[in-house]
Amino acid sequence: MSKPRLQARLAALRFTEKIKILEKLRDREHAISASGLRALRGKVSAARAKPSDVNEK
Amino acid sequence: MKVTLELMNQMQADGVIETYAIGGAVGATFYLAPAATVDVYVFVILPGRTGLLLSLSPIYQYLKSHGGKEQDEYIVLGGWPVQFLPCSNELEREALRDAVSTKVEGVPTWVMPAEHLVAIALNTGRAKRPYSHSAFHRTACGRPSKAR
Repeated sequence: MSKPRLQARLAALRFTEKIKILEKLRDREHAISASGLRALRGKVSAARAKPSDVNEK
Repeated sequence: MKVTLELMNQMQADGVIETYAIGGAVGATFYLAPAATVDVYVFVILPGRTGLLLSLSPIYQYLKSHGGKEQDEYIVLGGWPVQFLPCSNELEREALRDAVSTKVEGVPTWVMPAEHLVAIALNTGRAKRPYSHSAFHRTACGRPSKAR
């Protein structure tokens, strides 16, 4: 399913169903924050960005 | 969210707040596809407001006595950090007057109209959030009359 179609389908859900999805997304955010994965991803991105920075110079 | 809304309705019935409406990303979710958010913005009108300075103490005291837990600028209700924002201008007051009535798991609540959500986001420099005017524009459901 295309992204716009999925977005439209999600937007058409009842508010109660959407709130349930929000709660799952919120729990996922908390789990990611607690695991430190986001900080790790930040470090990886920074490390990947470095070589290009050097090339630009 | 059911517990959160029940507490807010009870607080309104007990006269701690005059009226409220959900804004921010959770409010926008009424019209759009759900986008990750970790907090709830609730705009309120406080009863008997006279001076220019407002105190949210009555709200915090009430909710803490009903199981709410203070956390930074939020009070956590039913697992959701809720931030209470007293209406500070005519746009926000109009958003509460025109709020759309809906239900979550059978609990009645109010959500700001789509136009007001966008206007407030633009006004507060949050136009790049998932509930930007373009997100509403893309979604055909961004009409307050289409209450679900």
